[in-house]
Amino acid sequence: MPADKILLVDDEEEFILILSERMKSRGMSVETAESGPAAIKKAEKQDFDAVILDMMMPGMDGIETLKRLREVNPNLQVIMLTGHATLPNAVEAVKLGAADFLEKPANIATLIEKIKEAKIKKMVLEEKQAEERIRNILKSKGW
Amino acid sequence: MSTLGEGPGAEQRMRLMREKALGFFAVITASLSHEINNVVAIIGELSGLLDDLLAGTEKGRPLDQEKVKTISERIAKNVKKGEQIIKRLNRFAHSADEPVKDFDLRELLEQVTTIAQRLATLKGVSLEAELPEVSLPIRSNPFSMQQAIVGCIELAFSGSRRNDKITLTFGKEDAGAKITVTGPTHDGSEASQSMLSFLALLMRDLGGTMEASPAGNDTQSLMLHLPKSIERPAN
Repeated sequence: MPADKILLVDDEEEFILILSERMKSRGMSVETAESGPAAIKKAEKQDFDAVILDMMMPGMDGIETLKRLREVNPNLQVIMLTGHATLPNAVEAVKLGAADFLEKPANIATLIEKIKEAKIKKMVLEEKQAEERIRNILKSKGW
Repeated sequence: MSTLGEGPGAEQRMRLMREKALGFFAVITASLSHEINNVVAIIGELSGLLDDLLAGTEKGRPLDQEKVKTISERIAKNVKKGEQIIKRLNRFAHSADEPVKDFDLRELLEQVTTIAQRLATLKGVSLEAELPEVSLPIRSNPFSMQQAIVGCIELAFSGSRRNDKITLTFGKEDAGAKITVTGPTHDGSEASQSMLSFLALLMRDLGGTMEASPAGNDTQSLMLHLPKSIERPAN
């Protein structure tokens, strides 16, 4: 089974450096970005099983980054990481399609569990879309 | 001059002052607690990294002593960073202890610049203190004074673009002191107008005045003129 491919987005350089090292030691393939625009660039070039996204970032914040990431790839599973786990933020993020929410500092076991769940959700979504495409082809060809 | 607690509309003014003071306290403590949280998160991950290394040794992997040393140094560095933030938070909280006290204006401006730094970073703006190397003793309300200065900074934020710069400085005047906040001209919105009216009220409470003057293209200086001493407790 290929390694889970994760994009970790946070403006705290030291935080993402250590967390990515811990995730890599658990067999994950981790890319990092220190800003919203940098994350979008990476998501445009590569597919990720999950994105771990900090809510509070300078410039483009987590909510705006989430919107843009979902435009790039609507199937992308984004787990919001926040120090301000307030209900309005959570509701807004979920409305915009965030897969989950996790308060910072996060327990790595919980984070990994959520990544696994996100990966399964993405696989189910992609399988459904593939089935839909096949059905459409079959219909259009009259087979 | 009448105090804010006297004359027509006194009750509304006092309520507004209380609400704004509480709002300011909330903004600053939320910002500083977020900074603490970031440090705690880093220390948490470093501790997790140590656990990972130990778990590796249980599986027969040799312990990388250099790595342990680096992690220990990083923990110490972040503990120090955390202590500094807590010290700032503590100093800020205690600034509301007494309505009037003696303090050094230079130290207060240094403190404001540091506590408002994260707010500026989130706006993508740089905030710098260009302070003369002299102390300026003053007797006033340090909490309200910080509120007035951060109010000026927030006005500058309203008209700011990424990479803009806001500077803080102070100088001695015959009657007392002048604090100058130079940055982008405010956006003229209803919120900014309301902030300007509030700042005028706050400065009146501090026995001082506020004025604005253009400082270049799309830039203005907000000047807070303060008396050397206020003897009555500010409202």
